[in-house]
Amino acid sequence: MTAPTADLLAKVLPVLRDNAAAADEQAAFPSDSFQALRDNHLLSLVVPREYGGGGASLQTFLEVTGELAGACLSTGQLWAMHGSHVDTIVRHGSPELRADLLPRIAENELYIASATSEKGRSSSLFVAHSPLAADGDRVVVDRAAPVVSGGAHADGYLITMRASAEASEHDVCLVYADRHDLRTELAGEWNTLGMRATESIGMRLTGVVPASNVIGAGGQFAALARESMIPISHLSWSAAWLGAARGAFRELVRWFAKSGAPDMSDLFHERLARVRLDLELVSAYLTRVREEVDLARIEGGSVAHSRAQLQINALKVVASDLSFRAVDHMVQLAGLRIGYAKNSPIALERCFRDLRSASLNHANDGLRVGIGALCLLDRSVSLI
Amino acid sequence: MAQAWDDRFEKVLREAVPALPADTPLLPDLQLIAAGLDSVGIVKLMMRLEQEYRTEFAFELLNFQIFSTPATLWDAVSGALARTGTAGTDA
Repeated sequence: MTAPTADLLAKVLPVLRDNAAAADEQAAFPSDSFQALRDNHLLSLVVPREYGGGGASLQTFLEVTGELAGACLSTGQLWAMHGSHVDTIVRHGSPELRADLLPRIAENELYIASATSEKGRSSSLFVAHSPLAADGDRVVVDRAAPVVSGGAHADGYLITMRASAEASEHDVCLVYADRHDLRTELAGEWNTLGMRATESIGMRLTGVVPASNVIGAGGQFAALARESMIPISHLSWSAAWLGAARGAFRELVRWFAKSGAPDMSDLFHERLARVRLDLELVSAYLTRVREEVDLARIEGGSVAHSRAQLQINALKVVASDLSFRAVDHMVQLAGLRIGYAKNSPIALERCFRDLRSASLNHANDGLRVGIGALCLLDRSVSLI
Repeated sequence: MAQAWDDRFEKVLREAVPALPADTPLLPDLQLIAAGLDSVGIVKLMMRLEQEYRTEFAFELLNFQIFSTPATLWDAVSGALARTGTAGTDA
């Protein structure tokens, strides 16, 4: 991470920490925290410099995600999803869309959410029911999505749509829409165990946008999803979960050092070690997968082959499982008063509730099925 | 596009994309993912093709991009058969 980025973080992290508990309590979007991100140009961090953004590398993007999540996982994950959406537009948007939108994100620190979920089934990025309708050089959007993280507060949306009324539900494309081009209706309530401040409500989005806002038309969506959207989303989610667990562990070991550990038994040290080992393993795997994606991007290569896809999905499963296990062990270590109480000086209770969602978010059950299938393709078993 | 595929290829491919009506021609540029071929379906299709042609595809071929269309997939299959020298005769 560069010194300027570290300086920006030093300004925003205290704001996130100060607002995390209230946003969680109210299940409300962390507006003050997002204002701090805006004020410090972090919403444009991954926009390329040629468009006026920070031009951050993938490594910096993930490091910042981890630090933000260590202060407030809801804010960190919302920011990470925004960064993934910007990356998709940078890499796959039409020249017209890039020229129009990216400078505006840089100048106005616009916040981009996404509407990719579907009602009545386990969510799949590769399935969309609502058809896009052509209207001259514009397209008509009418899309209901049951879960839109931060949607009520976004300035724009990346929306998955069925390519046309004649297309199958598997023929998916993306379309970007500015909020001011849409009529937005909120639906349902977000009242969950954890990740409460993501305010992931249901929305219906209707409006008309330029046809140049469509991304991945002509059957190209699946390729760009495998090449870019899914890798970046799994990397950034994993960085967020690891960052949250690491932030909690950092507080915990400092608290033990300051206030004296409850006992200095072998069991105490063994439990500390278990937490640290889980964090080390996730960090190592995250780093290696990021290096593979970086290498493919730098060399113009592909991560759409079976081994890379297996490992990108494995990262999400491993990071979600081990980060939650780590915080579960931290609660055990810290005990009822410090580990389990809501009014503890260490927010382990919130972190535990938040990280419980990690295996449900793009559910691990389905990912393991996919990983198992990919095992039959990668017969050399060439490990990362 | 390379040469037209044989009947076995079309039969196996149609089994993998059941949403494609039997009386609809299998066009070379049909987008297979959009037609309903998912990740697990791709793996099953690959193994089915290996059984049908009694060959084993090289790891470097096993890229999702070769499953884009019937034409790209047939290019990969026929290329693998030519390289391994497998006649692909069926019992």
